[in-house]
Order: sequence, then C-alpha cells, then structure tokens
Amino acid sequence: MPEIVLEARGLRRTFASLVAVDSLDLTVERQQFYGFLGPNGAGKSTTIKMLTGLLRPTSGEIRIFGLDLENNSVEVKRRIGVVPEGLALFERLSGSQLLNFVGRMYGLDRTTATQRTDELLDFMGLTDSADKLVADYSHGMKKKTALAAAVIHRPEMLFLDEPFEGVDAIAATTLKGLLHRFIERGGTIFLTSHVLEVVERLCTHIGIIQNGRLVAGGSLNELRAGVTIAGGDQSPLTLEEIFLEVVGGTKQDAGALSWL
Amino acid sequence: MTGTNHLWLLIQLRWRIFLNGLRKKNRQAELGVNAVGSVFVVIFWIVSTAAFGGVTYTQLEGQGTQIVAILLWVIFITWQLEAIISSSGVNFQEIARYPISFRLYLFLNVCYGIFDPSAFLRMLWLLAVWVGIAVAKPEWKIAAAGLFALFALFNVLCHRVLSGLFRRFQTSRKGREIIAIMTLLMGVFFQLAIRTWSRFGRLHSSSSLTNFLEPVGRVAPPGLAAYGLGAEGIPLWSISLLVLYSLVAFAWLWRQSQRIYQGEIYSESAVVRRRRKVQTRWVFVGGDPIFDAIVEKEFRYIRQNLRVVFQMLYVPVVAMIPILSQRASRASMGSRMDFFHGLFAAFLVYGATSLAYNIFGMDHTGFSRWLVSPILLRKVMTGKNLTHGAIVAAIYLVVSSGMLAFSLISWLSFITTTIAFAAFLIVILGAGNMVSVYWPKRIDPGQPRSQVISKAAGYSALLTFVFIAIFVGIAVLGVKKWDFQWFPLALGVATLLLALKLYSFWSDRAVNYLQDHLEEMSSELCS
Repeated sequence: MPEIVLEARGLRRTFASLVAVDSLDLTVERQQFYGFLGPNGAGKSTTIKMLTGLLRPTSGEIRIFGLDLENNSVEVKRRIGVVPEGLALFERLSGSQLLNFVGRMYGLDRTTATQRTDELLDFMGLTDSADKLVADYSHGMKKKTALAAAVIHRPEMLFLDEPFEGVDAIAATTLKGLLHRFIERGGTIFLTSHVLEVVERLCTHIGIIQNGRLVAGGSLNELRAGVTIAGGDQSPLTLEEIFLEVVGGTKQDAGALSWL
Repeated sequence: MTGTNHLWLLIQLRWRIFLNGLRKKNRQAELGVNAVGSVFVVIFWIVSTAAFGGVTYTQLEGQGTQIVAILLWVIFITWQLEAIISSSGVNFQEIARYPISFRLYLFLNVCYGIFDPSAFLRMLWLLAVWVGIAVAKPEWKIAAAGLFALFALFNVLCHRVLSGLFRRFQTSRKGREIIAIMTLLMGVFFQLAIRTWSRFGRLHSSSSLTNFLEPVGRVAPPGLAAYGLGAEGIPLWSISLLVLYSLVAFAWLWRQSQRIYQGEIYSESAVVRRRRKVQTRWVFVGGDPIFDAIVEKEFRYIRQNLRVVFQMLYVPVVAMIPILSQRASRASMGSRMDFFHGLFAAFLVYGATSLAYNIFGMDHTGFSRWLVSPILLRKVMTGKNLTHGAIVAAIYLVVSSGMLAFSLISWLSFITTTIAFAAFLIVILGAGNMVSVYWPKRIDPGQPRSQVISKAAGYSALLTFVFIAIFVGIAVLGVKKWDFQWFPLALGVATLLLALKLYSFWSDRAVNYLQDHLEEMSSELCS
C-alpha cells in the first residue's frame, strides 16, 4: 500500500467574514506529482500556506509524513522544501550567499552547503550570476534560485506555489527537469499552477478547488471518467475541458463591453 | 482632458495616497500616533508662521534687511532639504506613462512642487515675513511682494530639480550610502552651526569668515530677495539675478523631466551591477551552525543597508558634539565627564532602537523564509538580537575604552555605566522583539527618506529615556541620601538581572503574537 505523505482533514481558514478554505480534505501519496488547481481567489495559495506552516488554519488537521504539523512543525519543515508565493528570498544577498545560508539553516555543514550551492547554481545556469545580488536577478532567475533553495537540503516533499508563473520556456525546461528528477528519486510534489498544459503534462494527480472547497480530485484518468461533456466528441478530455466543466466556465455575453 | 483636470486628478491622487496610508490593517496605534502627530504638526505650522511674521515685524526696525535675509535663508535651506529628508507620495516616472504631452507633464511636475505640504508651509512663512514687512515698513511691501514671488518660484523649481536628482542618486546602493553619510554630516553641521550661532557676536565683529560670506550671501537667492528691499527705486539687480536663477533651475528641470518623459528608467537593477566576493567561512557564535548562519546573514544585510547604522549613530553623535568639542581633561572637568559618558551610553541605547525595533523590516519576502525553515522563531529573534547587540556594544566599547584610556572617566564609572548600558540594551532588544511584531515596517533601501521603524515604534522608543531617567534618579538618590558610592553599581547589577528576565518574557510573547498574526506580518513585510 502506498505511503500517505500528506493528509489534511477538515481544513478551514477564515479572514474575518471571508471563508478562504472550507472543509478541505486532501491526501497525497509518496512519489505523486499532485497538481492543485483552481480559479483566482479559490483558495490555492491559502491552502499551500497552511500546508507549509506559513499560515495557521482556523480549524482542521494537517499531517505530513504522519506527523501533526501543528506540534511537529520543525521536524516537518526539515523534511519538506517550499517555493512559496513571493519566493521568500533574501534579495540583498547574492545568489551563492543565499543558497549557502539556506542550506545551513537546514542544518547542512558549511562544506556540504557550499558544494551543493555550486552544483545547484551550475544546474540552474546561474554560475555566472552567483555573485550578483538576488535583487538584480530577472524573475526567471529568482524562480530558479527559489527552487534551488527549496531542494538544497534534499527534502522528501516539495510544495511549489505557481513555480512556472512568469518563467520563460528555457527556465521552465530547467525547472521541469529538476522536478522530474526529484520524483524519480522518490520525492513527492504538491504544486499549484494556473498553466493547465503544464499541470496536464507533469502531474500524476490533480485536485481542483473552488470557493475554498475541493470539488474534484484524483488521477487525470479518474477525473476524465467522472466528467462528461454533453454533446462532446469521444476523444479524451483535456485538463482544460475538465477544469472548465468542474468550475463552470463563464459564458461570454456578446453584449458586454460593446464599446470595445 | 484639460491640464486643469489633470492637475485636479493629481491633487486627488495625493490625497488618496495619504488616506490609504491610514487604512492598513491592525494599525490602530499608528493611526492614533498619526492623529496626535497631526495635531502637533498643525500647532507647529501655526506657531512657526506666527514666529516668522512676529520676528520680522519686531526686528525689522533695528536690524533692517539683515533679519529678512536670515529668515529667508532658513526658508531656503529647509525648503530644499525637504527634497532629501521627506518622502514623496508620487513617483513622476509613473505619471509620464499616461497620455499627456511633455508640456503638461512638466507643468504637473512644477505644480506638484507647489502643492507639496512642505512647500506650502514655506510659502506660509514667506507670506508671514511679507505681512511683517507690510506692517512695519509699508513702503517696502510692493518690492517685497515681487521679490518674494520670484524667490518662491525659484525655490519650487530648485526643489523639484533636487528631488529628481536625489531620486536618481538613491537608485544605487552607493548613492544611498552617500546620502546616509551626508544626512549624518548635515546633523553634525547643524550642531556646529548652532554653536557658532551662539557665538555669533564674536564672529560677527572680527571674523574674516563673515567678510567672505557676506558678498556670497548677497548674490545668493535669499540675500537677493532680502537686500533688494533696501534698494532705492526698483531693485533691478536683485530681480534680474532671481529671474536668471529661476531660468537656470527651469532649464535644468526641463532637461531632467524630458529624460524621464522619454523613458529613462531609474531602477535598482539598472544601476547596481557590482560583483562581490563570496565569503562563507564566517564563524560567530560557534557550536551552532544555524546561529552562525543567522548572524552572518544579518551582518551582510546591515552592511548592505548602512543607513540603519547611521540612523542609530545619528542621535548619540549629534547629541555628543557639544561634549566632545570641550577641550578638557578629567582634572578640569571632574565628574562631569562621567555624567557625559553615561549620557552617551543612554543616547546610544536610544539609537539602538532603529535596529532593534523593526528586526524583520529589511527581510521583505525573506521573512517567509524564516517561517518555512526548520527553526524556532525564537532562535531567529535571538540571532538577530545578538547581531544588533554586538554592533551597538562594539560602538560603546570603542568610545568608552578611548575615554578610559585618556583617563576621562573613572573605572567605577566605566563599570557601572557598562553594566547599566548592558541592562538597558537587553531591555531594548527584548522590547524590540515585541515592537517588531506589533508594528512591523518594511524598510525600502531604495527610499532613504523613509523611516526605518514605524511611527508607533518611534514613540515607544522614547519610553527608553523614561526608564533610564528613573534608573538615574534612583541611583543619584541612593548616592546622595546614603552617601553610598557603590549604590549605582549594585542597582545596575539588579537591573541587569531584571533585564534578562524581561528579555526572555517579551521574546516569548513576541513569538506567540507572531504565530497568531503571520498573515498580517507577511502582508506588511512581503508586499
């Protein structure tokens, strides 16, 4: 039986009267590449923040590697890597200083941290910019640096919030290469993204959230089996079609914006 | 859309920015402080304006145009200094993006200088001086109106040019550091100027400096506007030169605005391209690599943002200038140097609040890194406190050791002050942890004019002096009442023990508060 590495039960988060996430149940197994989708404001970022300790749930329980996150946050954080919204980079450090610092924060000794920093910079194609301030990096370079910072301590699970947003094709290829390698070596990935094509190509399992609630979940084939489009042809549904069917894509009113 | 509409929009934008600044979440204390501060600002505006008018009216008969020149110099210097020390609400690069002609853009830029609150205050002062003249010497009032109008125009243009220059200058780290140093030096300069002012009589009667400065003063804008009043007939010389100065300033502003309008971008990334060597072998605390990493990061950050250190040093340096300029030995000064040494320590502790009262302010999105890392937040705070405390303590020890080496202070005084200093520094660091999570403020290194701690934190920093005053009061009372010379030392040790307890208590509370308000902290620091 596959090992469950992430389990959330009855997760709820409110901001004053706004319910951002409500009664959310999630299960992710080892070596799954889990894509977490939803329209803007559905609660994706709030969920990933709660799963990574950046935000306390109003109620509910999160267990990662069987450990309760609330009571074992340090132990859990040691075993996960995170690329949060905003990337969480100390931009007044250079790329190499930052990676070295993050490695040591995760308990790596100086030699190992330095060695892994060099290797990661090389893999990400950032060696020439290693001594530049992160503040001077392009958006794509920052994303790569954030991913490097997330994996430097060799985590067992990665949480990535919109890792491909604003990244060019070359940088995206590098990131995807790293993520594939991570899964092949037994890692697990939980990823949110707006880019459905990327999720469809990368992810083995998908969850769709809307208005703070999980409205669909499972492997792509399971989702296809559960969704039918009236009058549609017999070819397999794309993730975009499934997504629009599940969240209810808005109909375009021909009369709207008539001045445009 | 007409230029008037654009101008009205700009005024509305400025007002909206001000209002939105009051709408931050969980900032009731800030709002309260702002309200109290606004009352003081209004009082200052009224009192200072009345003072300008009153001084002109009462002194004009006796001192003539010289008093007007002095007042105009004050107006000129403070008006132009605002370009450096106050924050500007609108970045005019943004305005250039909209579909407006260059002429309109330039017009709005100049108008923005007129509607700037600081400019408005200086114009009020100028008006008050004019009213003083009109009442005391009605025959000058027409000439004064013309000269002051030209003087005001020159000031507006010059202020906009300087604002643009500083905005450009501060896009590089080096530029910001130079501005920080200049700000510190300006404080020192003003202290020296005030001291010189107090000896003005002596200087005025004999100094060759006065002989040198007087002709310069007469052709400078404030001198031209003031001394033109005494001229017979129309003061053509003053008017011509003031028009010339205004034209030069306008030409400069034209060129500067044109470059921005045509798309020259002032940005951090466009300017900072400095390579730096990687050093990863720093060892500070020893034994705990995570502490080492935190302290190393913090030192690197402070080195990148030297402004916070300058801000910290500003208060003690400026306050101690009169003391340091005393040429005296311990023998001639007696116990006064011990007192001054204590005063220096007190000012340094107060200055330390600029580091300690906003410990996450420089981290920006890096704040989230602390949260996702497998370390306790208490450890992060302690690491930061250690760094900040070490910097402040190093400065204190260098100065104190120097004073001790030159026998300016006694050993007993040194030990007593050092223990009290350590106690209050620990209190400040502990209280700073609380203040940092209650009223965090994102420090923008690209805006050297922005404050490094929130206003609420600034007011709570003033409480430091209350505690120090209580301590000193008890110490002095103990010595005088019981004639017990060692009483301050005993009190210092007791305070130190209490400080350690307080530090621990406050730090724990800060961590608990932070855990419950992660979202607010993140939105303040990471946005």
